[in-house]
Amino acid sequence: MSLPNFLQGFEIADKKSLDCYNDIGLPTKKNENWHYLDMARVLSKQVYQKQLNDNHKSDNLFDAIKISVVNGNIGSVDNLPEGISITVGDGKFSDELINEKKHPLLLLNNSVAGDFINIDISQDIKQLIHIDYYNNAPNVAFLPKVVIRIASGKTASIIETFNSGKDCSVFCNSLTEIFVEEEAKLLQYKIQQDMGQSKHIAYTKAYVQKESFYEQNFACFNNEVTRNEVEVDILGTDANAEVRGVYIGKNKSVIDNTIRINHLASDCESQQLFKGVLNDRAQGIFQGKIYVDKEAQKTDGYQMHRSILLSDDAQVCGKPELEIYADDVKCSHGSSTGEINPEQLFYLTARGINENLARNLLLQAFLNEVFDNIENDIVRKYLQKNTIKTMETIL
Amino acid sequence: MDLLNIENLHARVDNPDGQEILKGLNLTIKKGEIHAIMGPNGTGKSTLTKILAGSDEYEITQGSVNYNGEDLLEKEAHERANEGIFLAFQYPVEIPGIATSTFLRHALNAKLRHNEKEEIDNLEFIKLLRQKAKTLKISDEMLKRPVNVGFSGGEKKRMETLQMSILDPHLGLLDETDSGLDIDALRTVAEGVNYIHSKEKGFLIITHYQRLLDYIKPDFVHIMVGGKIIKTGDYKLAIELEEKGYQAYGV
Repeated sequence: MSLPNFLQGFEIADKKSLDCYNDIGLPTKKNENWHYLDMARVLSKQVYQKQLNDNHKSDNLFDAIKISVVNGNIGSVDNLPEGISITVGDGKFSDELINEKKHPLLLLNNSVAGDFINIDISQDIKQLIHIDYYNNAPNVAFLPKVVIRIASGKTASIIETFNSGKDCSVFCNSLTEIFVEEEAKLLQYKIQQDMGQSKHIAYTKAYVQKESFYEQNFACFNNEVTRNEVEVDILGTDANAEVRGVYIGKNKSVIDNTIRINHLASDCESQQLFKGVLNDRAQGIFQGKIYVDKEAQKTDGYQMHRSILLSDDAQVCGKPELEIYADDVKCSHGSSTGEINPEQLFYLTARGINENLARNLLLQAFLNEVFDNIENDIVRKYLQKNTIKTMETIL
Repeated sequence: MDLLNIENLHARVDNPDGQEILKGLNLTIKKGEIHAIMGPNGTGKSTLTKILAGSDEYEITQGSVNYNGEDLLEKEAHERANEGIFLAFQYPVEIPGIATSTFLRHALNAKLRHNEKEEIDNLEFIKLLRQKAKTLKISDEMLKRPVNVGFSGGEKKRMETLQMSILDPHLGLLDETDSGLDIDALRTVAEGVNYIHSKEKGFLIITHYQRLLDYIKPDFVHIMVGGKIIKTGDYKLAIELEEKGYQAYGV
């Protein structure tokens, strides 16, 4: 068996995964989980290659512990503070994740040889941990493998940014596995801002233990095709998981957020909050699910997706779902789509603010409900600044 | 000199079966004058103020509006505001996510830019805002809240008055600014208007009650029925209406 045609230059690492991937193939619309995003079609047009060029210097924007990944090649990490270990090289995803899920893109990631980034946190880490993905080679493919473990009672924040040079076509298939031990707190930020012709497919699996806290805040600024899939297993009582996201799309961009939170223990809370703004022929997809096991009494689950369409051709597909087997739970879900409120727009313009700026302000305000949840000031301000900039380009 | 001159204005709601609301309205406001329009519900008073402020809910089918000698209807809403028209809304809309002070700074800077003046810096603006807010009994806490969010009816109207005093308009349009106000709030709002008023400026006040006119003395009182002004008088007309209602005018 060989790797699929659209991936060139990679070695095979795991034959079993590859066999399994080849049996299933890329997901099409027939696969319910991919109903709105036909990956087989998305990846049918172009060949992507492993690239060795790792020539790029970038600033340390977040004053962070920084790991640079240029065209898929991971740079060295020096001067680590105490309490964190980052190793690049060998690694392994859990068997459960790879073998039981039969998720084609997970299998593909695991089939392909490549270095793991293993991040082990054993003390509170005040500095942000930043994985900076940057691509400047043509038709580059990269398949990041990240495993994060945070020890009991410890706190840390990780940010991943995805950027590409102009006119750089990219295929990214990222797989991240996160273990949050008891009473630990992990804040994760992911910012996709390739801006160009990139296919960004990411899957994050988090295991959340008793009394711990995990959150992911995702932002997608006008990429071509983005699929951000997050699955959280809440395994211990009194734990909390929050997955939020903001997306802005124009032209023909497609942004798919597929979130599943599995409540497998009692007395836990979860939140899903997603907001998007779409112009031109852009498409937004939100598939959010709260699963509540029969053991997970006293679950408090919240899910909301709201979008604003700026053009008649933009569209949103929302599939909010609850699957509940416990009888004493509080869960809500919803998805709504609308336009800019004309009364609010008139109020601002009647005060002298031109229509373009008024729209920009209203859309920022709309998205700020998500950003207001971000604890880290530097990250929040960075996201708000990029939102304003992106909004100017799409309005 | 005429500040505002409306001639034979006809307007309808801008949708396929939109009915005609203004049916040949004439009104002239000279600099320094305060005009009040009274009239029964549904007669087009609010529509008139929204049209003057540039709302796109309505289509003008006939007539003209000149403001400072220029065709007002040609201008967009934000241009009208920057050239000195201010509408105090009957129902100020809530805008979650935009702080009142941020919104007002954008508004003031838009006006300064439009008039080719230097923008105000943040510190200076906050100083100005606090000073004006204090005279209108608006707390710092209210300024930090999102625009009109969680404000009571009276607070919203005071906030409209604050915006008016910051933007210092040439033509103030007050759409039932007195509705829902207790007597103290009414006095505060009226003081705000009187403070801004000068011989260069004009006001058009829509009201149902003579009460507001006890505090803001109008030069003219108009009765509007069926989409046009059918009678014009002075302050005494307001008192007469308060006593006798609109029956004499076929309502």
